[in-house]
Amino acid sequence: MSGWPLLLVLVGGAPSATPPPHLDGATQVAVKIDEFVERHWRSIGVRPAEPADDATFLRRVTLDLAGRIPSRREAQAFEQDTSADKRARTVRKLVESPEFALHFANVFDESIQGGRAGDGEFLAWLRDSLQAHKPWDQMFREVLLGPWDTGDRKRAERFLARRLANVDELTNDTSRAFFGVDVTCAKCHDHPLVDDWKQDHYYGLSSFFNRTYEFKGKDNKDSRIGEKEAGEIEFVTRGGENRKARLMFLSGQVVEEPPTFDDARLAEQRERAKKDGTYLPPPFSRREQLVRVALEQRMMFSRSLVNRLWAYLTGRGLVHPVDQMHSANAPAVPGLLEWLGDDLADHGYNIERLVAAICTCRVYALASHWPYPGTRPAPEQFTLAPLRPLSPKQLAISLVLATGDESFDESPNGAMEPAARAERHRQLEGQAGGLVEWLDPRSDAFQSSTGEALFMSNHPALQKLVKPDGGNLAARLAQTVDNAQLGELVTWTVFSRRPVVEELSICADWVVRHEADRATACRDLVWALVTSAEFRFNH
Amino acid sequence: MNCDDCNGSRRRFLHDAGAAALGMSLGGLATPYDPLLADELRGRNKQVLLLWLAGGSSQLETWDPKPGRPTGGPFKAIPTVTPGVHISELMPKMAKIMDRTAIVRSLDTRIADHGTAAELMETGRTREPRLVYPDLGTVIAKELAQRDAQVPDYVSLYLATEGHRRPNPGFLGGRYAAMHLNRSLKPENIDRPEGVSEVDHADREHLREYLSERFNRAREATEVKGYNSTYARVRGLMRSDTIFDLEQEPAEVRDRYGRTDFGEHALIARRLIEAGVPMVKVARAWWDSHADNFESHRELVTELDHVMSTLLLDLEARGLLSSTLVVTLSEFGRTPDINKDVGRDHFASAWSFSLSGCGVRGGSVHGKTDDDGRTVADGKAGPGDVMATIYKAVGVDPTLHYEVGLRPVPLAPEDSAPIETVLA
Repeated sequence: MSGWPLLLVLVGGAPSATPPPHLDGATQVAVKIDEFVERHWRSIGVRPAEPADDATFLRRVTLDLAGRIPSRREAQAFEQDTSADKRARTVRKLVESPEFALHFANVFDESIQGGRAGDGEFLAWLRDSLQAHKPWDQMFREVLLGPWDTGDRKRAERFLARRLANVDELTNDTSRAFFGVDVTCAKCHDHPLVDDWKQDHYYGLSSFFNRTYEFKGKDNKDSRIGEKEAGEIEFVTRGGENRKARLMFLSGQVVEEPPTFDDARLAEQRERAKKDGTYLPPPFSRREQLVRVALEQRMMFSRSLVNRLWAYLTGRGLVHPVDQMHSANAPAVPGLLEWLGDDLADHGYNIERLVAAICTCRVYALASHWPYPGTRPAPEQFTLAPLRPLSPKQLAISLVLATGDESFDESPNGAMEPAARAERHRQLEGQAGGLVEWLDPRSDAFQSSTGEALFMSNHPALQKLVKPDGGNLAARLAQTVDNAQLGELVTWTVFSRRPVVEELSICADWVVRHEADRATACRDLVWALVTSAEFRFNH
Repeated sequence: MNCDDCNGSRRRFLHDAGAAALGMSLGGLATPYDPLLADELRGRNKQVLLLWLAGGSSQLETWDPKPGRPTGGPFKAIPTVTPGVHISELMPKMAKIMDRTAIVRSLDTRIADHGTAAELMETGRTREPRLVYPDLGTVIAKELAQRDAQVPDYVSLYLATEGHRRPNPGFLGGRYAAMHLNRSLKPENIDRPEGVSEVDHADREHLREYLSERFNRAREATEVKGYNSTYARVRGLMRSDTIFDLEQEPAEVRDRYGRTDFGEHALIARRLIEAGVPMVKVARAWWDSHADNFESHRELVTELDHVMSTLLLDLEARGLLSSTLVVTLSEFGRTPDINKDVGRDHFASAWSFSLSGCGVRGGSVHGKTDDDGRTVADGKAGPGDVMATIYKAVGVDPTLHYEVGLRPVPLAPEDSAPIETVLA
């Protein structure tokens, strides 16, 4: 019954520390998710896979929230823990850990920045924001509006700064990242498949950005993102009509711009700013209006985040693909996305609470093998955990951790301080840095490349990890005399689980057959495990 | 789970691995299974070799000379073996074999900035913020690759620093991405690592594969099958290192191609084509002659003439030309007007490219420019038409669609069509 964390949490009420206040209610949200999903399963007459076992759950959630596999000690401690709420407690612990901010910064970077992910300053801002438990609406506001008055805060400006040259990119990327809508097609014609998106929407959304520019200041010394007082977008419809764009949000809501402010005081300010070369904000900021309207409308903004986090954690969006949220593409589980979106908005756009809730629900904890005869279920039914390829960073860090010397969770005083843990994580990331560029990126239809396979098979950097050296895994294996112990050690360390009997025989047979050179046998055993599919995927 | 079955599998594994250890059946792995390719038989044996003239070659000094006109420059036009077709006097060797080659003289592609134009001419489209199109090489690799190939699907050679570009697989992802040689003529990670014997290398791959299949037994996930089939190609690719080794080629042949970078790359390309690589790209830089256009083209075109004609005749002698399409293409052409530095600048409104071999009507010419080569006078063709023509020549339907998210994306843009004049 170990696969039912939620019920056990509710029934068991084991002696655990009170959850931190910002995770309040996560468990109730998870119960609600299960209600929606189970009702849906009943209505379409499907049954879910078995729950995943403890070890699989721990590996899955550690990869998702900390960006790495569990260490051998973490995996073994989790197995030995007999308390009823250990899964829920682990989720909470991981969300609280500084590793969460380090890893989720990458997750948000990819989701917000898309093709422009990897900007060091923006990543640093994301890490600090997550560490500070900033709510999602605040992050949105800081990205689009600032304040960008200090060095630290200015890093949020990078999203706009990288796209300033192209108002279409500003429009599309903002729309995808924050509203889950790809409006690209509606630029040249009303969207061919979706009634929701007309050219008016595209240029309406563009109009919130058309006055945004780079203010350079006197002698280019005060570079910042500014906004002009005037400027309109005009476009030609498919029918050949010239049209002036209105300030229109995706929902169709139109913002009326107040008449131009032309009092004497303003004129004087303008004059002075011009003379001094200082920046004067416009009396009416279009970008500010976009943030206001999006947060008032709130439906698209909140559902988009829910859908993206759901997709990240379960392998598929409730609306799929995640940037195609519109009336012709209904969510897979009726009511769930809507409910979660409202709940997110009602609870201050608390990211951690939503993440903890999803990781505590039943869908998240399903096994990835299908035990029943007949065809496998369709992915949008969420009855089976899909195999999700690790991201290059997750894989690289996990490779270094699995093959390494176990110093990762060693602490002179027992429990490790969060700061020390963060430092260790950064060290791992540093060691893993050189591997990342060779590994295949995660994508919707993942395909492994021969480039990665050749790298894993032949590159000296990978060879170095698996070769016995100092106290690394291969060296420890080579010193393990008992072959059963050797099988235990390598399986726990690489796969984060207890080996089954057959696997112990495979390992023993392997080293016996290569007995002439035990060091080489251990090296190749480690190689075969870290390159196997079980290690490559989150399962 | 049925334990007899487990034990049986394990015995089989140990048996196979033991055989490998004795040096038997190395690489004789289970037939790789690629669900992405298993659905239909592909057009077999067709291949594409792209000669990419990076920087923009001049149509006036190659395929569309205008002798005696103010824009014509110093070089004459010469007749070719095909009656009525004249090309620049800098290409006497190609003139003798023009019956293998077709010319398109009416490209109007609008964009005259190196990076954007190069992407345009290799994808047939202008970039969209949210949809990264694969280059034509990746599309060809996907459409023409054999599922169990022991050679790469796509090899790109580009050793010049100027204008260096890495082929972009776009939304097609890593499976068919180019093996890109930009540092040396040898592919990366193709040699066995130091300290790992041939036997150990094969043996540990057996164990890797066995563990992965075991993991997938109750899952039957296509991702794992694809993952294993990729690894199954590794040892074949490692053996293919000899294809890249010019020492294997007789001195006479190497001399025939010429011991220049371009000559050697073309020879490697022929070896790759011969070995069955479906897509090969060889880039020759740097044609960007803003100054002294005629001096640089005298050198570059003469080399192109030599290498291209040698390559075509060699492919033909080996019976490969009828199944290999050779495309000679740039990102744009050069201005008819000669600037103050005796150079020609970027020009995308009226320029040329050529096609030879597979699917091509040799000796044909499509389209023409006006007397001074300033505009297209007849048969205007765009970047999408170039893609559609290439695909059709090798038997790939340009109207096929890829599904990207919910959006169907045709191989060649919807408003494009193959240039039928030049197709057999």
